[in-house]
Amino acid sequence: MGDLSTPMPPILGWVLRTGFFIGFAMIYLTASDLNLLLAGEKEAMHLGVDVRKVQIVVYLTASALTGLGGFG
Amino acid sequence: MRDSCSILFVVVVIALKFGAVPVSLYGLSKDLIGVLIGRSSEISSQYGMIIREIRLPRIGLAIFVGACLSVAGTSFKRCYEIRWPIRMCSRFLWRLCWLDSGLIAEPHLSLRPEIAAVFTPLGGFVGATLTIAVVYLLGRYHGEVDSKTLLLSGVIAGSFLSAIIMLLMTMLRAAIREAWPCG
Repeated sequence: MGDLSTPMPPILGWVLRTGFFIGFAMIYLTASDLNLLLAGEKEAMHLGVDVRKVQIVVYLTASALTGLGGFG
Repeated sequence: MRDSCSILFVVVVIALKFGAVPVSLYGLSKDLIGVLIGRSSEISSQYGMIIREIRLPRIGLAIFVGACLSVAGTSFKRCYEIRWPIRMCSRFLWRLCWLDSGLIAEPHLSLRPEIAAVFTPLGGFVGATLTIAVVYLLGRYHGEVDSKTLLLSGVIAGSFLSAIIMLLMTMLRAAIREAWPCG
């Protein structure tokens, strides 16, 4: 753990890869909302972003991606 | 984009070249191009196996791990622009829980490694979630989460947890040496 000196079982590699692409797709779908969120939560809400939903999606996906990274 | 791609390319080439067995860059690139355009089917047998079985999968793994972490980090940064102390202190707690659950579970309860492997990340995850909850509770001001109070409560929680980690490191010095890289 923590280095790449031990070989990884191929199945874990597949999990990592598919997980990455799923997570990336999820984040990419929220990309425009995230751009609006940069202006501030209230402003984004007035521009029609469902702030709570975006935050939950980003929070869960980013946590899962970090977990996958640590797992790899 | 182009800059990061070229940096990635350079790093990949360096990772292919350097290692326990030195690989000639010229020969390797000649062989790789030969394989790519279908001229020859094999990388030269001298180091073909090292390249194919060890270095390339490792590089691919590292690329994917890095991509995962960077996507997660960028999206978090966008979503919680001023709230970096939360991330810092959750990282501290993750490290702490990982550390002491690893220390307690493995040598003392003599759990089997499979069970310990499940419980250590789980303990870290639960602990990190708990800290975030505590930081949010501390950061509330008149029932509203304000970014400045949140920042301060994150700093408080972070320094408190780093103090606990220091304490643990002093108390369990011998055991730490093995388990520390995990965090």
